[in-house]
Amino acid sequence: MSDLKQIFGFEPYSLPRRDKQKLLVDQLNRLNHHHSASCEPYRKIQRAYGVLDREFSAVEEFPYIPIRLFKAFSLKSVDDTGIIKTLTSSGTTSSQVSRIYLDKDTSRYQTKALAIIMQDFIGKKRLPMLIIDSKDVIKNRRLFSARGAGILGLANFGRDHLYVLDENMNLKVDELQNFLEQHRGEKLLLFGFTFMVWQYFYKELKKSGPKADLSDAVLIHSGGWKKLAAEAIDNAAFKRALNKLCGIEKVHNFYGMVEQIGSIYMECEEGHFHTPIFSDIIIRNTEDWSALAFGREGVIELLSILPHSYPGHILLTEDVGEIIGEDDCPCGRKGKYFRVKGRVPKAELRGCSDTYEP
Amino acid sequence: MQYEIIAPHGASDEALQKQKVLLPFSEVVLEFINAVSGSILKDATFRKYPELVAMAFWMRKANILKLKEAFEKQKGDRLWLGRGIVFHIAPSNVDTIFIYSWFISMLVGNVNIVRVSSASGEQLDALIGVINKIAEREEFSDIRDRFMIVRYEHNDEITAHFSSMCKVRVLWGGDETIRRIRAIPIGSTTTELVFADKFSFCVIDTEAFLRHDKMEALITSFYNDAYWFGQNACSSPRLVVWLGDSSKSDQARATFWEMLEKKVVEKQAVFPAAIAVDKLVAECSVAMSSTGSVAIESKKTSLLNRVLLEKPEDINRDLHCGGGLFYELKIKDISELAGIVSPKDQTISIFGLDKNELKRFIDHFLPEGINRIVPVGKALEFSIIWDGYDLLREFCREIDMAV
Repeated sequence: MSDLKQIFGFEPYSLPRRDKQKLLVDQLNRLNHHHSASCEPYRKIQRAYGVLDREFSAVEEFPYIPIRLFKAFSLKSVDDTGIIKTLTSSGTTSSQVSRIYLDKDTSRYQTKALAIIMQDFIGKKRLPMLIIDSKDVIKNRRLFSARGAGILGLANFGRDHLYVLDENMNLKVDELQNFLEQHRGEKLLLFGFTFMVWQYFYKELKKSGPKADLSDAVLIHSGGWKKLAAEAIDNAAFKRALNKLCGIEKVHNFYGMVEQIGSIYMECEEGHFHTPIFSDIIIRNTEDWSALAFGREGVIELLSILPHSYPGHILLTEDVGEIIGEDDCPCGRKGKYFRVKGRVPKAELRGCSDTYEP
Repeated sequence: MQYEIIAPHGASDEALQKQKVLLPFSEVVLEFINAVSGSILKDATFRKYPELVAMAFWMRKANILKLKEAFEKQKGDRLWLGRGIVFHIAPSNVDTIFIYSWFISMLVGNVNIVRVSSASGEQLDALIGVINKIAEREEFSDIRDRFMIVRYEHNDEITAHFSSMCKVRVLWGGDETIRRIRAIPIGSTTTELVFADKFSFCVIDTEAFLRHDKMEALITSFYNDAYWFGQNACSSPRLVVWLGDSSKSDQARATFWEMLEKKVVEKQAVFPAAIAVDKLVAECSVAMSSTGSVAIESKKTSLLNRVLLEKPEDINRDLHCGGGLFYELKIKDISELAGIVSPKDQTISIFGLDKNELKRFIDHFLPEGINRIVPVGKALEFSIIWDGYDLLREFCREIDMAV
């Protein structure tokens, strides 16, 4: 995959539209052939849609598959012997979990891409790192949850890691205090899932924790706003509250999913999610599945050139969002930038089959 | 035990239990049904619910009198009486089913308790409004004393309570629901009617279709069958079987789907966005699990999805999510239906097929499924023969007079 090697040499937000589209189209055509040749269920889908072995000339033309398929089917484009890790979605809202099979190559691509993206936000130096979670979530190394995989992925960018929660999600106040004293005056890296940061770090720190000056820290977080919405906390309120409590200014949310780990969408200083050179976004109109213009709301399709061991390179998500613009975000980063508005509204069940649903 | 009595005002289960049945087809019942029918047909607010208008049309006096005549002919001088209290557990969102179930039981004189789901919508509210208004009228006191519509969230205790007092329990629902409710006991002399989740399909003779001179009307009929209730009624066609030689079938299919697509757009059918995604999941899943070839036909609107299958075993009835998704199969001879029909199949709506040929097919192949065969356009029409039961008969008991 020498092509990818070249791409890994680029700055993650450096390519203007024309160059990036050409790069993506080449890569996605190559991946389409690879997955059609190596993954039988995927080949059957391509054949059913009548697009097997077809070459496409624009990202919008490529066939996408619904992300939910990873829950009901084992989709892999490598032999079982090549699989080194299986990722699962956390599955908090649904009993079925996605299963994503990684081989050495894909796993390496993900790590590399993530590093390139993160360096753009935190620099190349490894920083003393607070992980706002319990060490328990990373214990089983072969079967990772999305949470565990996210933590291990991000842990690479820090040093002197401290998991600040114990197994019962209690803030380890003393250890936190020691850590802060030890690293006084240094730039710190914090990572956690949005809800955990809010519930077990912010709230505890506010109530009983040590006085923490985090004005020179970067917080990276992800995981969605569903639980915080119940408390009427949105991204702006989240940042305001943290800033007020401990002076932290650099807070970056990111959007991404276990089905496309690595090529994540970081929130810039303007509050926009950005597509790096490894990935792209298309907004689809649910009335006819056409690609929508910037500013129009629809279902989010995500494209990534990293997945080689499973056919997850072009996925239709169940999230709703809109593209705000391309190559012209005031933050200076190139590529499409967008907003996520939540989940596709659930259908009201109709039919004889649901007598007893509330 | 918390349940809400939504009709009639002031009802209670203690009062209901004291009531005797009425004689079958009593005048007061016919008048009541006629009044409900008239109210719906006259009220402009109901026009946006074609399903309710169709139901009101079924309830009009002329039709009920026909039922009465047939019932009396069948009965002769035998003694048939209602069984007592009938407890109906209605499906949550085919809003008209509870009315059919209740009214047919009421026609033979039974006392009725109807449970509607707590997730019910505006159609149900509008219907309940009409029923309450009519039931309040002085002349309908005999009706008012003999029914109760209750609404409650899934609750085994309440279901057990009503189950213990009824003489017939009527269940409409999916396999899981039915399993759940059947675990709740009924009285030793209580009978039970079960209407499980079903799958239905349409068979079209391609030559008959291609030479048909009223294609537009046929398409409208098919549209109504498939798109009312969001293709989620048990009798909504979800598979279209094309009978004829392959090239003729393709010609017929091209015309048929193009016209239907136009109709769907013109009628402005709307489904939630999640249904459009569900259909993609279903069509991809069918393709991935297939043993034969699968062709997902391209579409201009997400309201109409088509999946052409080569092999009947690739029909996945459980994956079908409604909302305008059609499996298709081509067959050359009617005998090939034998490989398609499953025990889950309820209604076959047909166009251009010969009745005697179908009879021969059934006598020869003795299929485990199929409860109705109707022309295209009548798939959703309710009938007193449903899922193999003669409903009026099931709601009665016979006193064997051997003297």
